[in-house]
Amino acid sequence: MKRTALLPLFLICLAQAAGPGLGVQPTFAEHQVEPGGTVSGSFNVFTYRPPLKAQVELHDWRRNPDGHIELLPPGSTPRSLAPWGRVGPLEINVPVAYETIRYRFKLPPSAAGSYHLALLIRPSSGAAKELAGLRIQTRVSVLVPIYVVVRGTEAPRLSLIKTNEENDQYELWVKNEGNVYLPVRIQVDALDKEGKSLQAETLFTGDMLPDEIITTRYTTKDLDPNALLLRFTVKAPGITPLVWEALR
Amino acid sequence: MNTRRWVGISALIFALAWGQAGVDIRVNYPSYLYIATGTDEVRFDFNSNTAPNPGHLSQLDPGLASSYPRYADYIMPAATKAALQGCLGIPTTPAGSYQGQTTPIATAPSACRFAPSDFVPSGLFDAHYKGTGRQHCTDPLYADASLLILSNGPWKVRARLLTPAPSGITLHILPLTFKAPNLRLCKLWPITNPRNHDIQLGSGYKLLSTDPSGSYRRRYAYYTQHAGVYLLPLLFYIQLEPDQVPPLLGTTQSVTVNYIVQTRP
Repeated sequence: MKRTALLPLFLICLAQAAGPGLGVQPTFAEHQVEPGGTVSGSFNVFTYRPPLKAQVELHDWRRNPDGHIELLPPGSTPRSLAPWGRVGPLEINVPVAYETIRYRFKLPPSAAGSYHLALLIRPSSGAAKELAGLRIQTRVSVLVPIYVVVRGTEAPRLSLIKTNEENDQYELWVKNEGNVYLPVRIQVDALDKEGKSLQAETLFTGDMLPDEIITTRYTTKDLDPNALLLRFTVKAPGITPLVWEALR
Repeated sequence: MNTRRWVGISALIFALAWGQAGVDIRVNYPSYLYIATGTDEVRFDFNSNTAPNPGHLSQLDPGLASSYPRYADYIMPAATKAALQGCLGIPTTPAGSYQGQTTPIATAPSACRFAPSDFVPSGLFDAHYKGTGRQHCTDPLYADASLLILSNGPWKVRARLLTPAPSGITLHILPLTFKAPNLRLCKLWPITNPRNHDIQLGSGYKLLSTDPSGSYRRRYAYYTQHAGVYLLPLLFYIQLEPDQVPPLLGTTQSVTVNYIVQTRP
Protein backbone atom coordinates (compact mmCIF):
# COMPACT_ATOMS: atom_id res chain seq x y z
CA MET A 1 0.00 0.00 0.00
CA LYS A 2 1.25 3.43 -0.79
CA ARG A 3 1.58 5.72 2.13
CA THR A 4 2.42 9.21 1.07
CA ALA A 5 3.88 11.93 3.21
CA LEU A 6 2.84 15.52 3.00
CA LEU A 7 6.39 16.62 2.73
CA PRO A 8 6.00 20.23 1.69
CA LEU A 9 3.50 20.83 4.42
CA PHE A 10 6.26 20.57 6.95
CA LEU A 11 8.65 22.97 5.34
CA ILE A 12 6.78 25.80 3.82
CA CYS A 13 3.95 28.04 4.71
CA LEU A 14 2.44 30.85 2.79
CA ALA A 15 2.64 34.07 4.68
CA GLN A 16 0.19 36.17 2.75
CA ALA A 17 -1.97 33.93 0.66
CA ALA A 18 -4.97 35.66 -0.77
CA GLY A 19 -6.75 32.47 -1.64
CA PRO A 20 -6.58 28.86 -0.65
CA GLY A 21 -3.74 27.16 -2.42
CA LEU A 22 -4.06 23.67 -3.67
CA GLY A 23 -1.62 20.84 -3.25
CA VAL A 24 -1.69 17.27 -4.40
CA GLN A 25 0.50 14.33 -3.68
CA PRO A 26 1.54 12.26 -5.49
CA THR A 27 1.20 14.15 -8.73
CA PHE A 28 0.48 11.14 -10.88
CA ALA A 29 0.08 7.42 -10.54
CA GLU A 30 1.27 4.54 -12.64
CA HIS A 31 0.17 1.00 -11.93
CA GLN A 32 0.81 -2.35 -13.47
CA VAL A 33 -1.77 -5.05 -13.14
CA GLU A 34 -2.30 -8.59 -14.36
CA PRO A 35 -5.06 -9.09 -16.93
CA GLY A 36 -8.37 -8.94 -15.11
CA GLY A 37 -6.70 -7.56 -12.02
CA THR A 38 -7.59 -4.72 -9.71
CA VAL A 39 -5.63 -1.65 -8.78
CA SER A 40 -6.26 0.95 -6.16
CA GLY A 41 -4.49 4.01 -4.86
CA SER A 42 -4.99 7.47 -3.56
CA PHE A 43 -4.05 11.10 -3.86
CA ASN A 44 -3.78 13.46 -0.93
CA VAL A 45 -5.15 16.94 -1.48
CA PHE A 46 -3.85 19.55 0.91
CA THR A 47 -3.66 23.26 1.50
CA TYR A 48 -1.68 25.63 3.63
CA ARG A 49 -4.54 28.04 3.93
CA PRO A 50 -7.63 26.10 4.96
CA PRO A 51 -10.43 25.70 4.44
CA LEU A 52 -10.24 24.43 0.91
CA LYS A 53 -13.32 23.25 -0.89
CA ALA A 54 -12.92 21.69 -4.27
CA GLN A 55 -14.60 19.57 -6.87
CA VAL A 56 -12.93 16.57 -8.40
CA GLU A 57 -13.83 16.09 -12.03
CA LEU A 58 -12.99 12.97 -13.99
CA HIS A 59 -11.75 13.38 -17.51
CA ASP A 60 -10.36 11.56 -20.42
CA TRP A 61 -8.00 13.68 -22.41
CA ARG A 62 -6.40 13.98 -25.79
CA ARG A 63 -3.26 15.81 -26.76
CA ASN A 64 -3.68 17.86 -29.89
CA PRO A 65 -0.85 17.77 -32.40
CA ASP A 66 0.32 21.15 -31.14
CA GLY A 67 0.88 19.59 -27.73
CA HIS A 68 -2.06 21.10 -25.89
CA ILE A 69 -4.25 18.91 -23.75
CA GLU A 70 -7.95 18.78 -24.50
CA LEU A 71 -10.18 17.49 -21.73
CA LEU A 72 -12.92 15.06 -22.67
CA PRO A 73 -15.81 13.47 -20.78
CA PRO A 74 -14.91 10.38 -18.78
CA GLY A 75 -15.41 7.18 -20.70
CA SER A 76 -15.37 8.90 -24.07
CA THR A 77 -12.22 7.23 -25.30
CA PRO A 78 -11.57 3.51 -25.77
CA ARG A 79 -8.75 3.47 -23.25
CA SER A 80 -10.55 5.27 -20.50
CA LEU A 81 -10.40 3.83 -17.01
CA ALA A 82 -13.70 5.43 -16.15
CA PRO A 83 -15.95 2.45 -16.94
CA TRP A 84 -13.87 0.12 -14.84
CA GLY A 85 -13.95 1.61 -11.39
CA ARG A 86 -14.69 4.42 -9.04
CA VAL A 87 -13.08 7.51 -7.61
CA GLY A 88 -14.10 9.34 -4.50
CA PRO A 89 -14.93 11.58 -2.90
CA LEU A 90 -15.65 13.97 -5.74
CA GLU A 91 -16.35 16.84 -3.40
CA ILE A 92 -13.59 17.54 -0.97
CA ASN A 93 -13.31 19.80 2.02
CA VAL A 94 -9.96 20.30 3.62
CA PRO A 95 -10.57 21.99 6.94
CA VAL A 96 -7.15 21.62 8.49
CA ALA A 97 -4.71 19.43 6.68
CA TYR A 98 -5.59 17.17 3.83
CA GLU A 99 -8.13 14.84 2.39
CA THR A 100 -7.59 11.63 0.52
CA ILE A 101 -9.14 10.82 -2.83
CA ARG A 102 -9.18 7.10 -3.42
CA TYR A 103 -9.64 5.16 -6.60
CA ARG A 104 -10.10 1.55 -7.48
CA PHE A 105 -10.31 -0.04 -10.91
CA LYS A 106 -10.92 -3.59 -12.00
CA LEU A 107 -10.03 -4.14 -15.61
CA PRO A 108 -11.70 -6.85 -17.70
CA PRO A 109 -9.67 -9.94 -18.57
CA SER A 110 -9.64 -8.84 -22.22
CA ALA A 111 -7.95 -5.53 -21.41
CA ALA A 112 -4.61 -5.01 -23.10
CA GLY A 113 -2.13 -2.16 -23.19
CA SER A 114 -2.64 0.90 -21.01
CA TYR A 115 -5.67 2.75 -19.70
CA HIS A 116 -5.88 6.15 -18.17
CA LEU A 117 -8.02 8.72 -16.43
CA ALA A 118 -7.31 12.21 -15.13
CA LEU A 119 -8.59 13.93 -12.03
CA LEU A 120 -9.09 17.66 -12.34
CA ILE A 121 -9.10 19.13 -8.85
CA ARG A 122 -10.85 22.46 -9.04
CA PRO A 123 -11.18 24.67 -5.94
CA SER A 124 -14.41 26.56 -5.54
CA SER A 125 -12.71 29.85 -4.71
CA GLY A 126 -9.57 31.77 -5.52
CA ALA A 127 -7.89 35.12 -5.25
CA ALA A 128 -9.31 38.34 -6.62
CA LYS A 129 -7.96 41.74 -7.58
CA GLU A 130 -9.65 44.80 -8.96
CA LEU A 131 -8.25 46.84 -11.76
CA ALA A 132 -9.94 49.76 -13.49
CA GLY A 133 -13.34 48.57 -12.48
CA LEU A 134 -12.64 45.03 -13.52
CA ARG A 135 -12.58 42.37 -10.87
CA ILE A 136 -10.08 39.74 -11.88
CA GLN A 137 -10.37 36.43 -10.13
CA THR A 138 -7.73 33.80 -10.40
CA ARG A 139 -8.20 30.15 -9.67
CA VAL A 140 -5.92 27.21 -9.83
CA SER A 141 -6.73 23.68 -10.83
CA VAL A 142 -4.54 20.64 -10.98
CA LEU A 143 -4.81 17.83 -13.47
CA VAL A 144 -3.37 14.55 -12.20
CA PRO A 145 -3.30 11.45 -14.37
CA ILE A 146 -3.68 7.79 -13.47
CA TYR A 147 -2.19 5.21 -15.79
CA VAL A 148 -2.75 1.48 -15.58
CA VAL A 149 -0.74 -0.90 -17.71
CA VAL A 150 -1.92 -4.49 -18.17
CA ARG A 151 1.23 -6.45 -17.57
CA GLY A 152 2.42 -8.66 -20.39
CA THR A 153 0.13 -7.12 -22.99
CA GLU A 154 2.15 -4.05 -23.84
CA ALA A 155 2.98 -3.51 -27.51
CA PRO A 156 4.88 -0.21 -27.59
CA ARG A 157 5.45 1.29 -30.99
CA LEU A 158 6.46 4.78 -32.05
CA SER A 159 6.70 5.96 -35.62
CA LEU A 160 8.09 8.98 -37.34
CA ILE A 161 5.24 9.45 -39.74
CA LYS A 162 6.33 12.62 -41.47
CA THR A 163 9.23 15.04 -41.68
CA ASN A 164 9.53 18.32 -43.44
CA GLU A 165 12.18 20.98 -43.90
CA GLU A 166 11.66 24.34 -45.44
CA ASN A 167 14.11 27.22 -45.23
CA ASP A 168 15.22 27.29 -41.62
CA GLN A 169 12.17 25.43 -40.30
CA TYR A 170 12.16 21.72 -39.54
CA GLU A 171 9.11 19.71 -38.58
CA LEU A 172 8.53 16.15 -37.54
CA TRP A 173 5.39 14.20 -36.74
CA VAL A 174 5.58 11.37 -34.27
CA LYS A 175 2.77 8.92 -33.66
CA ASN A 176 2.25 6.43 -30.86
CA GLU A 177 1.09 3.41 -32.84
CA GLY A 178 1.23 0.99 -29.94
CA ASN A 179 -1.31 0.11 -27.31
CA VAL A 180 0.45 1.61 -24.34
CA TYR A 181 1.16 5.18 -23.30
CA LEU A 182 4.78 6.23 -23.57
CA PRO A 183 6.77 8.97 -21.88
CA VAL A 184 8.39 10.49 -24.94
CA ARG A 185 11.29 12.87 -25.30
CA ILE A 186 12.14 14.55 -28.58
CA GLN A 187 15.50 16.22 -28.82
CA VAL A 188 17.53 17.93 -31.49
CA ASP A 189 21.30 18.01 -31.59
CA ALA A 190 23.18 20.40 -33.85
CA LEU A 191 26.41 18.77 -35.01
CA ASP A 192 29.47 20.29 -36.61
CA LYS A 193 31.39 18.76 -39.52
CA GLU A 194 33.21 16.40 -37.16
CA GLY A 195 30.01 15.15 -35.60
CA LYS A 196 30.50 17.06 -32.40
CA SER A 197 27.36 18.33 -30.74
CA LEU A 198 27.30 22.11 -30.60
CA GLN A 199 23.82 22.60 -29.26
CA ALA A 200 21.09 20.39 -27.93
CA GLU A 201 17.53 21.26 -27.24
CA THR A 202 14.57 19.34 -25.95
CA LEU A 203 11.61 19.93 -28.22
CA PHE A 204 9.05 17.84 -26.40
CA THR A 205 8.67 15.85 -23.25
CA GLY A 206 5.41 14.26 -22.27
CA ASP A 207 3.25 11.20 -22.19
CA MET A 208 1.89 10.10 -25.54
CA LEU A 209 -1.29 8.10 -25.44
CA PRO A 210 -1.95 5.40 -28.03
CA ASP A 211 -2.86 6.92 -31.41
CA GLU A 212 -1.64 10.37 -30.42
CA ILE A 213 0.37 12.43 -32.86
CA ILE A 214 2.83 15.08 -31.81
CA THR A 215 4.14 17.73 -34.14
CA THR A 216 7.34 19.49 -33.22
CA ARG A 217 8.93 22.37 -35.02
CA TYR A 218 12.45 23.63 -34.84
CA THR A 219 13.93 26.73 -36.33
CA THR A 220 17.62 27.25 -36.90
CA LYS A 221 17.41 31.00 -36.64
CA ASP A 222 19.60 31.20 -33.55
CA LEU A 223 21.71 28.19 -34.34
CA ASP A 224 25.49 28.08 -34.15
CA PRO A 225 26.78 28.89 -37.67
CA ASN A 226 29.17 25.94 -37.48
CA ALA A 227 26.31 23.48 -37.20
CA LEU A 228 26.00 21.42 -40.36
CA LEU A 229 23.75 18.59 -39.35
CA LEU A 230 20.60 18.44 -37.27
CA ARG A 231 19.88 15.14 -35.59
CA PHE A 232 16.37 14.74 -34.21
CA THR A 233 15.98 11.89 -31.76
CA VAL A 234 12.75 10.48 -30.36
CA LYS A 235 13.17 8.40 -27.24
CA ALA A 236 10.83 6.38 -25.06
CA PRO A 237 11.37 3.50 -22.66
CA GLY A 238 11.47 0.14 -24.41
CA ILE A 239 11.70 1.73 -27.83
CA THR A 240 14.67 1.87 -30.16
CA PRO A 241 15.26 5.60 -30.60
CA LEU A 242 13.93 7.10 -33.79
CA VAL A 243 16.40 9.34 -35.57
CA TRP A 244 15.95 11.84 -38.35
CA GLU A 245 18.95 13.70 -39.67
CA ALA A 246 18.76 16.76 -41.85
CA LEU A 247 21.53 18.78 -43.40
CA ARG A 248 21.34 22.37 -42.55
CA MET B 1 -21.12 -11.78 17.10
CA ASN B 2 -22.35 -8.44 18.34
CA THR B 3 -22.95 -5.50 16.07
CA ARG B 4 -19.92 -3.50 17.18
CA ARG B 5 -17.57 -6.37 16.49
CA TRP B 6 -19.16 -6.99 13.11
CA VAL B 7 -18.73 -3.36 12.14
CA GLY B 8 -15.13 -3.45 13.24
CA ILE B 9 -14.35 -6.57 11.25
CA SER B 10 -16.11 -5.17 8.21
CA ALA B 11 -14.07 -2.00 8.45
CA LEU B 12 -10.90 -4.04 8.75
CA ILE B 13 -11.78 -6.11 5.69
CA PHE B 14 -12.58 -2.96 3.78
CA ALA B 15 -9.30 -1.36 4.80
CA LEU B 16 -7.36 -4.45 3.84
CA ALA B 17 -9.15 -4.56 0.52
CA TRP B 18 -8.05 -1.01 -0.20
CA GLY B 19 -4.56 -1.75 0.88
CA GLN B 20 -3.95 -5.07 -0.77
CA ALA B 21 -5.37 -4.22 -4.13
CA GLY B 22 -2.63 -1.76 -5.01
CA VAL B 23 -0.11 -3.38 -7.28
CA ASP B 24 3.34 -2.27 -8.18
CA ILE B 25 2.92 1.44 -7.80
CA ARG B 26 5.76 3.19 -9.51
CA VAL B 27 5.39 6.65 -8.10
CA ASN B 28 8.66 8.29 -7.32
CA TYR B 29 9.16 9.49 -3.82
CA PRO B 30 7.42 11.85 -3.06
CA SER B 31 6.03 13.70 -6.00
CA TYR B 32 4.02 16.67 -4.94
CA LEU B 33 2.81 19.96 -6.24
CA TYR B 34 1.36 23.02 -4.64
CA ILE B 35 -0.05 26.00 -6.45
CA ALA B 36 -1.57 29.26 -5.35
CA THR B 37 -2.50 32.62 -6.77
CA GLY B 38 -2.56 36.05 -5.21
CA THR B 39 0.37 35.04 -3.10
CA ASP B 40 3.38 37.21 -2.70
CA GLU B 41 5.42 35.62 0.01
CA VAL B 42 6.50 32.18 1.00
CA ARG B 43 7.99 31.31 4.33
CA PHE B 44 10.50 28.54 4.75
CA ASP B 45 10.68 27.31 8.27
CA PHE B 46 14.12 26.20 9.35
CA ASN B 47 13.68 26.48 13.06
CA SER B 48 16.73 24.71 14.38
CA ASN B 49 15.80 24.81 18.01
CA THR B 50 13.15 22.15 17.76
CA ALA B 51 14.90 19.79 15.39
CA PRO B 52 14.90 16.23 16.61
CA ASN B 53 16.37 15.03 13.34
CA PRO B 54 18.26 17.94 11.85
CA GLY B 55 18.81 17.52 8.19
CA HIS B 56 22.06 17.93 6.37
CA LEU B 57 22.37 21.13 4.42
CA SER B 58 24.93 21.99 1.83
CA GLN B 59 26.64 25.34 1.62
CA LEU B 60 24.95 28.32 0.11
CA ASP B 61 26.12 28.97 -3.40
CA PRO B 62 28.52 31.90 -2.82
CA GLY B 63 28.35 33.10 -6.39
CA LEU B 64 24.64 33.41 -6.31
CA ALA B 65 24.66 35.20 -3.00
CA SER B 66 27.22 37.77 -4.10
CA SER B 67 25.36 38.49 -7.31
CA TYR B 68 22.11 39.08 -5.56
CA PRO B 69 22.86 40.16 -2.01
CA ARG B 70 19.33 41.29 -1.45
CA TYR B 71 18.12 37.78 -1.93
CA ALA B 72 21.04 35.99 -0.41
CA ASP B 73 19.09 35.15 2.66
CA TYR B 74 16.31 33.71 0.63
CA ILE B 75 18.33 31.31 -1.44
CA MET B 76 18.37 28.25 0.69
CA PRO B 77 20.86 25.49 0.50
CA ALA B 78 19.30 22.20 -0.37
CA ALA B 79 18.60 19.56 2.18
CA THR B 80 19.24 16.03 1.10
CA LYS B 81 16.50 13.64 0.24
CA ALA B 82 17.92 11.17 2.72
CA ALA B 83 17.64 13.71 5.51
CA LEU B 84 14.06 14.42 4.68
CA GLN B 85 13.23 10.77 4.56
CA GLY B 86 14.98 10.23 7.85
CA CYS B 87 13.01 13.01 9.38
CA LEU B 88 9.77 11.57 8.15
CA GLY B 89 10.67 8.03 9.07
CA ILE B 90 10.34 6.79 5.54
CA PRO B 91 12.71 4.12 4.28
CA THR B 92 14.64 4.39 1.07
CA THR B 93 15.41 1.65 -1.39
CA PRO B 94 18.96 1.36 -2.77
CA ALA B 95 17.79 2.69 -6.11
CA GLY B 96 16.57 5.82 -4.43
CA SER B 97 12.94 5.25 -5.08
CA TYR B 98 10.29 5.38 -2.46
CA GLN B 99 9.27 2.20 -0.76
CA GLY B 100 5.75 2.50 0.49
CA GLN B 101 4.94 1.57 4.02
CA THR B 102 1.79 0.89 5.90
CA THR B 103 2.68 2.39 9.24
CA PRO B 104 1.94 6.00 10.06
CA ILE B 105 4.61 8.61 9.69
CA ALA B 106 6.90 8.27 12.67
CA THR B 107 7.67 11.87 13.37
CA ALA B 108 5.11 14.48 14.22
CA PRO B 109 5.05 16.98 11.37
CA SER B 110 5.26 19.98 13.65
CA ALA B 111 8.47 18.70 15.19
CA CYS B 112 10.19 17.93 11.94
CA ARG B 113 12.46 20.83 11.13
CA PHE B 114 15.75 21.29 9.41
CA ALA B 115 18.67 23.08 10.89
CA PRO B 116 20.64 25.37 8.64
CA SER B 117 23.54 25.44 11.08
CA ASP B 118 26.09 26.22 8.41
CA PHE B 119 24.14 29.08 6.97
CA VAL B 120 21.92 31.08 9.26
CA PRO B 121 21.56 30.01 12.85
CA SER B 122 17.84 29.89 13.24
CA GLY B 123 14.48 31.07 12.31
CA LEU B 124 12.13 31.72 9.49
CA PHE B 125 13.15 33.02 6.12
CA ASP B 126 10.81 34.69 3.77
CA ALA B 127 11.00 34.68 0.03
CA HIS B 128 9.30 37.85 -1.07
CA TYR B 129 8.19 38.57 -4.52
CA LYS B 130 5.52 41.02 -3.67
CA GLY B 131 5.27 43.69 -6.24
CA THR B 132 8.10 42.45 -8.36
CA GLY B 133 6.13 43.07 -11.46
CA ARG B 134 5.14 46.54 -10.44
CA GLN B 135 8.74 47.51 -9.88
CA HIS B 136 9.40 47.00 -13.54
CA CYS B 137 6.14 47.95 -15.09
CA THR B 138 4.43 50.77 -13.33
CA ASP B 139 1.66 51.31 -15.81
CA PRO B 140 -1.52 51.22 -13.75
CA LEU B 141 -3.23 49.16 -16.36
CA TYR B 142 -0.97 46.29 -15.53
CA ALA B 143 -1.69 44.04 -12.63
CA ASP B 144 0.38 41.48 -10.92
CA ALA B 145 -1.39 38.15 -11.30
CA SER B 146 1.16 36.01 -9.65
CA LEU B 147 1.13 32.29 -9.69
CA LEU B 148 3.13 30.26 -7.27
CA ILE B 149 4.18 26.73 -7.98
CA LEU B 150 6.05 24.44 -5.68
CA SER B 151 6.85 21.05 -7.02
CA ASN B 152 9.52 18.45 -7.24
CA GLY B 153 8.18 17.04 -10.45
CA PRO B 154 7.59 18.24 -13.98
CA TRP B 155 4.64 20.45 -14.60
CA LYS B 156 3.18 22.77 -17.13
CA VAL B 157 0.63 25.47 -16.65
CA ARG B 158 -1.95 26.99 -18.90
CA ALA B 159 -4.01 30.04 -18.20
CA ARG B 160 -7.40 30.58 -19.67
CA LEU B 161 -10.50 32.62 -19.12
CA LEU B 162 -13.39 30.62 -17.75
CA THR B 163 -15.87 32.92 -19.41
CA PRO B 164 -15.44 35.58 -22.08
CA ALA B 165 -14.26 38.94 -20.88
CA PRO B 166 -16.89 41.66 -20.65
CA SER B 167 -17.66 43.37 -23.90
CA GLY B 168 -15.08 45.94 -24.88
CA ILE B 169 -12.36 44.56 -22.69
CA THR B 170 -9.47 42.52 -23.91
CA LEU B 171 -7.57 40.68 -21.30
CA HIS B 172 -4.04 39.51 -21.90
CA ILE B 173 -2.10 37.26 -19.66
CA LEU B 174 1.53 37.67 -20.39
CA PRO B 175 4.64 36.08 -19.06
CA LEU B 176 7.10 38.71 -18.02
CA THR B 177 9.56 37.81 -20.70
CA PHE B 178 6.95 38.06 -23.36
CA LYS B 179 8.03 40.18 -26.27
CA ALA B 180 5.24 41.67 -28.25
CA PRO B 181 4.71 44.76 -30.36
CA ASN B 182 3.56 47.79 -28.43
CA LEU B 183 4.21 46.15 -25.13
CA ARG B 184 6.93 47.02 -22.78
CA LEU B 185 9.34 44.20 -22.16
CA CYS B 186 9.20 43.29 -18.54
CA LYS B 187 11.77 41.03 -17.04
CA LEU B 188 12.03 39.15 -13.87
CA TRP B 189 15.21 39.60 -12.02
CA PRO B 190 17.32 37.00 -13.66
CA ILE B 191 19.50 34.56 -11.87
CA THR B 192 22.72 34.63 -13.81
CA ASN B 193 24.48 31.77 -12.16
CA PRO B 194 24.61 29.20 -14.95
CA ARG B 195 24.01 26.32 -12.63
CA ASN B 196 20.75 27.70 -11.37
CA HIS B 197 19.74 29.70 -14.33
CA ASP B 198 18.14 27.16 -16.55
CA ILE B 199 14.87 26.07 -15.08
CA GLN B 200 14.72 23.22 -17.53
CA LEU B 201 17.53 21.55 -15.67
CA GLY B 202 15.31 21.34 -12.69
CA SER B 203 11.88 20.00 -12.27
CA GLY B 204 9.49 22.79 -12.97
CA TYR B 205 9.62 24.44 -16.31
CA LYS B 206 7.75 26.17 -19.05
CA LEU B 207 4.63 28.15 -19.15
CA LEU B 208 2.08 28.68 -21.78
CA SER B 209 0.29 31.90 -22.37
CA THR B 210 -3.25 32.22 -23.52
CA ASP B 211 -2.01 33.35 -26.87
CA PRO B 212 -3.37 30.77 -29.29
CA SER B 213 -0.31 31.06 -31.48
CA GLY B 214 1.69 28.83 -29.23
CA SER B 215 3.76 28.50 -26.17
CA TYR B 216 6.49 30.63 -24.75
CA ARG B 217 9.40 29.18 -23.00
CA ARG B 218 10.29 30.70 -19.73
CA ARG B 219 13.92 31.60 -19.43
CA TYR B 220 14.13 33.63 -16.28
CA ALA B 221 12.67 33.27 -12.88
CA TYR B 222 14.08 33.44 -9.48
CA TYR B 223 13.37 30.47 -7.43
CA THR B 224 14.49 28.74 -4.35
CA GLN B 225 15.56 25.19 -4.41
CA HIS B 226 15.21 23.42 -1.16
CA ALA B 227 14.89 19.70 -0.93
CA GLY B 228 13.97 19.57 -4.55
CA VAL B 229 11.31 22.21 -4.13
CA TYR B 230 11.12 24.67 -6.95
CA LEU B 231 9.52 27.94 -6.14
CA LEU B 232 8.62 29.83 -9.24
CA PRO B 233 6.68 32.98 -8.68
CA LEU B 234 5.27 33.17 -12.13
CA LEU B 235 4.19 36.71 -12.62
CA PHE B 236 1.77 37.64 -15.29
CA TYR B 237 0.53 40.98 -16.40
CA ILE B 238 -3.08 41.45 -16.99
CA GLN B 239 -3.51 44.23 -19.45
CA LEU B 240 -6.61 46.09 -20.28
CA GLU B 241 -6.42 47.70 -23.64
CA PRO B 242 -7.50 51.26 -22.91
CA ASP B 243 -8.81 51.95 -26.37
CA GLN B 244 -11.37 49.22 -25.93
CA VAL B 245 -12.33 49.77 -22.34
CA PRO B 246 -15.82 51.23 -22.15
CA PRO B 247 -16.79 53.48 -19.28
CA LEU B 248 -17.03 51.29 -16.23
CA LEU B 249 -18.23 53.96 -13.85
CA GLY B 250 -20.47 52.64 -11.19
CA THR B 251 -20.18 49.02 -12.20
CA THR B 252 -17.72 46.34 -11.41
CA GLN B 253 -17.42 43.61 -13.95
CA SER B 254 -15.47 40.48 -13.44
CA VAL B 255 -13.50 37.86 -15.24
CA THR B 256 -12.05 34.64 -13.95
CA VAL B 257 -8.69 33.37 -15.02
CA ASN B 258 -8.12 29.72 -14.41
CA TYR B 259 -4.64 28.31 -14.18
CA ILE B 260 -4.58 24.61 -14.96
CA VAL B 261 -1.46 22.84 -13.93
CA GLN B 262 -0.69 19.55 -15.59
CA THR B 263 1.46 17.43 -13.39
CA ARG B 264 2.57 15.08 -16.12
CA PRO B 265 2.97 17.37 -19.09
